[in-house]
Amino acid sequence: MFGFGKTIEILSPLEGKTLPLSECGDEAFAGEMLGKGLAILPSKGLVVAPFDAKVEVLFDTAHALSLLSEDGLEFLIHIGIDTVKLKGRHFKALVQQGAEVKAGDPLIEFDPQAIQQEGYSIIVPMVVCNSADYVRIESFPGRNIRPLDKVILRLRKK
Amino acid sequence: MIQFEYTITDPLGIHARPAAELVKTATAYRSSISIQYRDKEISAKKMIALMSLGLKQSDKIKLSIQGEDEIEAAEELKHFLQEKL
Repeated sequence: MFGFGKTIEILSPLEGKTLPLSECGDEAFAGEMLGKGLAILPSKGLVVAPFDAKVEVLFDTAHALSLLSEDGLEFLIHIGIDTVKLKGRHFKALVQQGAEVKAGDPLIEFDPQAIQQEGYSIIVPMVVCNSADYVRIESFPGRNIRPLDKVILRLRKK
Repeated sequence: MIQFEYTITDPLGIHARPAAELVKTATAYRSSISIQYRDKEISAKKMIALMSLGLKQSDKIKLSIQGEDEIEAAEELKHFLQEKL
């Protein structure tokens, strides 16, 4: 097995259940247009940092953010489907774009019930935006997870 | 090198999906393609960099395209921006 790069494991940033990305209900994510990953159906409205990172992107609407790890991993967490249209309603950013965060730091709070009441899915697709930098990206759907308690994605660097 | 400006008209700005679509359009060409907004300049082939600009409706961007297929790339990008953003 020599000749491969480093293995990286990503822990869960939410409480809920993991699903295959193909079941997230959004064509762009399901078709891996934004990268490989998986989805979580959240049971609580809090996203924490799954690893030490810099918050590279945090939209004003606080419905999505992207983290950059020290290893160069670019990880996008998108809360709900089409929720950009809520223009920030039911989302609250707890950090700012550019912030350095540690694993477990709270990043975004959201109100799953209110989002669903407005007719939006609360499924959280999560993707590795620089998927091309990895030879293998393994996901673990069908797991009940709490923040940082289980591995949801395992990556092997080129 | 070809340069042109574009003002975002989509009321939702460049969020995750349009960023991915723009990157997909740009990466189909060999030319280097950069987007300048205010004092920042990023590669149109890097999704995170593109999203980090936080582009919104009425923001004006400048594209610079340089390479062997710059004419085709510029046409396709202009078309994409007008249609989608």
